[in-house]
Formats: sequence, C-alpha cells, structure tokens
Amino acid sequence: MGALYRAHAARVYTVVRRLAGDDALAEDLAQDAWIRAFRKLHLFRGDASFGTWMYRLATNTALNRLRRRGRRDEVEQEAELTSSAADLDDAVINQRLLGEALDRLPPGYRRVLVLHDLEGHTHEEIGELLDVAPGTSKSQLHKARARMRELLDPGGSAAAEQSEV
Amino acid sequence: MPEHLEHETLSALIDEPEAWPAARDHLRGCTACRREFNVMRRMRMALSALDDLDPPEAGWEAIEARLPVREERERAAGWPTLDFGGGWLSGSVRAAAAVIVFAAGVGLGLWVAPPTVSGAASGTRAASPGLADAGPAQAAASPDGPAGATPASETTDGSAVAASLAPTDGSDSSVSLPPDLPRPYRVLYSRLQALRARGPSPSEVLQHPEEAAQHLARLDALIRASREALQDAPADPAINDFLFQVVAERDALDRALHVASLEYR
Repeated sequence: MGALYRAHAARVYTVVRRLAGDDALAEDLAQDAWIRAFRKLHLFRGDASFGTWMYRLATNTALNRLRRRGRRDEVEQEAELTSSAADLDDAVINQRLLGEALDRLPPGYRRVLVLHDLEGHTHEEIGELLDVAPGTSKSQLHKARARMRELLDPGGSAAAEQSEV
Repeated sequence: MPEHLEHETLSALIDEPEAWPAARDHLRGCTACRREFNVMRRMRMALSALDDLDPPEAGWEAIEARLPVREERERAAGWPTLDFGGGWLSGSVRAAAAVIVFAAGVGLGLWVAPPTVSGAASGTRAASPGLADAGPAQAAASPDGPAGATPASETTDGSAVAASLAPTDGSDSSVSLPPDLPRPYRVLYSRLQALRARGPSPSEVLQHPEEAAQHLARLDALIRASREALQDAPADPAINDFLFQVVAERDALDRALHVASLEYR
C-alpha cells in the first residue's frame, strides 16, 4: 500500500489541494480519498490504470465533501494577495502567485477553473462532476478567469486601459 | 460594442474565438484589449502548466493510522486457531473462507496464461498431481499446479491450501513480512514473489512483449481473485495488502507497455 501511495500521492494531493484552496482541508480530503480507495479497492476493475482510477476517486471525494461544506460557507473570499505582482507578465508565470490567487477565488469559481484549466476536463464532464449544466460551467469559468486576472494584478488592467484613452 | 472588452469576454475568446466575431473584430483594432487578451491567454497557459504539489511528509503515516490494518493484522495472526467462544466467530469464519477462496484464486491466477519462458524457473519444477484433470498441455505448462482446485470446504484453517500452494523448492518467502503472519498468508506472498521473478521487469517489456502480455494476464487474474475474496472479507489486511501489491505491479507493467508501444510507433 505504501508503494502505491508514494507513486500517486503527489497527483492526488495536487488535485484535492487545488480544489480545496486550503492546506489543512486538502490534507483531510487526501486522507479520505486514500482510505476510500483502500476500502473500495476490490471494485477496481483494471479497465484503466490505478492512477486514473485513484484520480477520479480523489476528485469525486473532494468535490462531494466541498459541495456539502460549500452550503455552509459559500462566502466569497475577497482578500487580496499577500504579495501583488508589480508586473503581471511575471506574475502569470510565477507559480506561487498563481497558487495564491487560486486559493482566494470563491470556491465555486475555483472548482470550475481547476477542473477545466488545470485538470483538462470538458464543460460536459464538469457539468456531471458538479451537477450543473455545461453552460453554467462555461459561464463560471469565464468569471473565474476574470477574477484571477484581477487578483493577480488589481488595478493593472484599468491602468492599461487609461493609458490607451 | 463597449469601448473595451470585459475580461469574461476575453476569456470566452480564448476558448471559442469563432463564436464571438464582433469581439474579435474589436480586438484587431484595440491595442489595450489585445494586451489584456494576451495576458489572459498566458495566464491560462500558466495555470495548465502548474507543477504538482508535494504531499504532506507524514501523509502515509496519517492514513495508515486511520486504517484498521494493525488491529486486523493482529487478529489475522491468530486466525488458524479460531476463537470459537469469542464474539467475532462469524467474522473469523467468513474471513477464513475468504482467504481460502482467495488462495484458490491466487493459485488460478498463477495458473492462467502460464509463462513460456525457458530456464530453471519453469523447467525444474514438476507438475503437481492435481494437474491431471486440466489436460496435458496445461499440466506441462504450469509448474505451479492448479492450487486453486483445492476445495474450500476441505479445511477451515487453510492448511490444505497452504500445503498445495507451498513452494516446492523448500523456500518460504523473501518478502519482508511480520513474523507472526500465519503460514497461509506467507505462502501467498511467496507466490507473488515467485510471480515477480517469472515476469519481465518494466525495462524488459520492449524485448519480451509476449511475456509481458502473459504476465499482465496473470496479474489480472490475481486482481480478480483478490477482489472476489474482499467481497467476503473487505477488511482483511493481508488480502488488501496483497491486492495493493498486485495492482501496483500491474500499474507499473501497464505503464511500461504503454511507453513501449509509443516507442514502437
């Protein structure tokens, strides 16, 4: 079991951490996912690789928990980044800043953005995972990217606009 | 059309430029919007290229602590002598039956798609008497014999299964196991070790694709047997451990086969 964990721990932790937006919650979600895997391993049919099966299980586990949790605290997190980017061109390739901005997105936006832009799911797949219409997923994605842009460089785009007027 | 495009519109243009002709026209003539569009496009690319994160250092220890492995392993260690007066009698009987069925399945798993590799591993061991019913071709090809043919009803302590699965070369197992693990479990692990020794390593897959495919079939059979056994004893630590190991083995081989097929193209 330890060997399987070591082989797939980073992938599992990454997806749940990105979805959760919080270290402690992500750790808890990852543990839940692995324990579910341990208990459900007899259902693994070998149709896909273990990594794929585990990824799906972790994603579903995290989304189900976050959905229940979201009903309690679906409050948009408007806090600004601890360190703002002086130059967005640098910021967009700065992984730490991107990660911070992701954490500060409202949970609903973050889930769609993570599933689409980071994990490569289609809007149809996201619709099934989140139990929403594909059009809703698409709309949330564009809102999420717009919010990411603001978080990464608050006021930057406005300054650019003014310079053009 | 507004003076400048909203960020949401720019985002939509990244994914579906054809769906927004008016916005696209605006983009051609507006330097500020083009700059914002490029920034957002870079942001989207950077998001998709984010590295995997490091899991917590004590992640596995925390998970293991939440699993009933140690407690169940201790219980399993006492399994051959069932506590007929205890409160967990029925569970033990079910677990015992599951292990016996599992052992039978493992025997079948080793029997499926017998290896064609030549050499001492397959050539020096005699077919067991039980192979007579399986036909001469299988009997000749399977050095392990149909251990899975051992009727589960013959015993409740697994000794017959253990005996039928025991390595004929006298060795027990080179796998590191808890010292108090009952013999039936030890035998299962020794069989996994033997199976590993017979299959090609991932680095040898390209040189021996047929052996790799046979090995994959054997691993699939072991996974099926393990899954069926777990339906009766889902918390059995030994079977779960075994299944994890076989799945890891199959996963590694599957990846190696995939890489090999890409190289072949």
